[in-house]
Amino acid sequence: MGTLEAWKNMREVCVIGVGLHKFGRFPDKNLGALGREAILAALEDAGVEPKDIEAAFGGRVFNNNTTAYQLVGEVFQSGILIDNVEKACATASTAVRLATWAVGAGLYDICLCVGAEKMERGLVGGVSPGMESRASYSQLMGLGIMPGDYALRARRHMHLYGSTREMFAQVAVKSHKNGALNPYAQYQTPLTLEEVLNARMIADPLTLYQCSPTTDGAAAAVICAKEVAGRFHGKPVTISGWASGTPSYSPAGVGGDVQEGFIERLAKEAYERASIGPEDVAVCQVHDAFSAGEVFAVEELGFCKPGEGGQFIWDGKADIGGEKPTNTDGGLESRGHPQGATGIAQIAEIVYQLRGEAGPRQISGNPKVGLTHNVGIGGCNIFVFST
Amino acid sequence: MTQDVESKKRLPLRRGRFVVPEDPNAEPYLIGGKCQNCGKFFAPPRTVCLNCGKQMIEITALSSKGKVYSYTIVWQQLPGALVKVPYSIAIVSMPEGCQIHAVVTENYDKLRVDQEVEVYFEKIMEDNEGNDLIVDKFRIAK
Repeated sequence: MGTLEAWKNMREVCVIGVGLHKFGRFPDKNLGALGREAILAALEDAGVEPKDIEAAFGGRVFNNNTTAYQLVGEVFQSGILIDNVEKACATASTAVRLATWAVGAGLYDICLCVGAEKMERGLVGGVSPGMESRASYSQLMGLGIMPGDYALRARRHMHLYGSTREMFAQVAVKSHKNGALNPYAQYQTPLTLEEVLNARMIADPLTLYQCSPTTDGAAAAVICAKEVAGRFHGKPVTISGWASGTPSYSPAGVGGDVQEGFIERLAKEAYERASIGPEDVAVCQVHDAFSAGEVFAVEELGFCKPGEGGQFIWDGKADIGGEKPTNTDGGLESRGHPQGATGIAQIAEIVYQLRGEAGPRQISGNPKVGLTHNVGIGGCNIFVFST
Repeated sequence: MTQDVESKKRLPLRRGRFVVPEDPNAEPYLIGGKCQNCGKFFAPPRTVCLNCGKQMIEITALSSKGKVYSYTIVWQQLPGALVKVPYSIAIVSMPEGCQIHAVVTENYDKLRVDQEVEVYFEKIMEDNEGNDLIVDKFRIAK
């Protein structure tokens, strides 16, 4: 692994500040307003001023054209490099990875990352009126639905391992319980297992509350070299490892974001770069675009054996008080999923947890290692954080 | 606009997944691409083999039956889709070693993993010239 050596030779990089705009629906606010608020909050949290920022990376998923340039421009216009980034739901974490590489390589000391989104209601990916002639077979036949791959892998998981609908639903119960403790979350109301199971079915076995919502929101982070972090008041959290990649060709499997084995391969790389094992991860935020995603993630991240993810979550091991707190901020399901911003919101929660600033969601035991797992059509970014 | 019966054609809703023969009495059939170098099949066909990298893919008829790898019953309508809920999406493992994502409307709620399913073709709509637009669907094998 050539890049392992290269990573060890890079200088230490940290997150020094994070900031969020609440996730929800804000019809009276445009994207610029959302992004501006998140950027200002991140700069404030870091104690960094616009003049200190040497490069910026950011984006959104829908209509992603010049987004980063516009969002940064809401706050300052200092002539720095601003790169627009997109990797579907993994857009924001991609921005952070690029900043991490740039800072680690010594090209820049301090970078700003931002992700934002404004979304319409309903299933993503449909055919707009008048666009039928351009629609694909997949769209016209109703094959290309977002919950589809997750539901297909969930059914396979039930067939192979005996997972139950209740186990998948329990993910949503946990996420809404945690979301209720998060003032930035879109949904802050706990749900019972019955409410989750009896909600409207979307793609069997996934009911409405097991699907992440459409959301407006923004998140920003300041990434800097550890050696300059002391100049600012933000409490640094080191980015000790990362891994990024795409699903590789396989003649069989569900495919796409949930291709079997894809996350497992990347997790091993991230652990190797961070010189840890899955047992060292104290808290994590994983990509529960649909509840089943969390079941697959806890397996592929190595927290339990293949097939045991449903039982793991059912037994409370992923609860805030459990042995492997997962999605402590409510996850995509309850915190919300403004697709371009989610990756940094996950990172923000890990930063809060490792700093001891997560309030009612704070896990005990003074956690020192955290992990984020952010997946999009086009790839996954995993980060390991440490203090 | 009406047409003479003789000049009305059957056309695929979209090309690339299956062939609709000119002969109105001939059955349509699914197509895959077989790599002439390594033997892997891809459905729908593609130009470059993902297994060996060669551009030696030959279009070939695919089997009409396969096994259910997984399925889901869809209840949320995708805006603009011609297929209306409820229906199922199945991943069908074909004997050639490739997989197809398929729509199941007939007995959509009776699917099981490892079940044998078969393809069939039906008209879903007409185009502006009155031609029948054909789609593929799968159903539990008879």
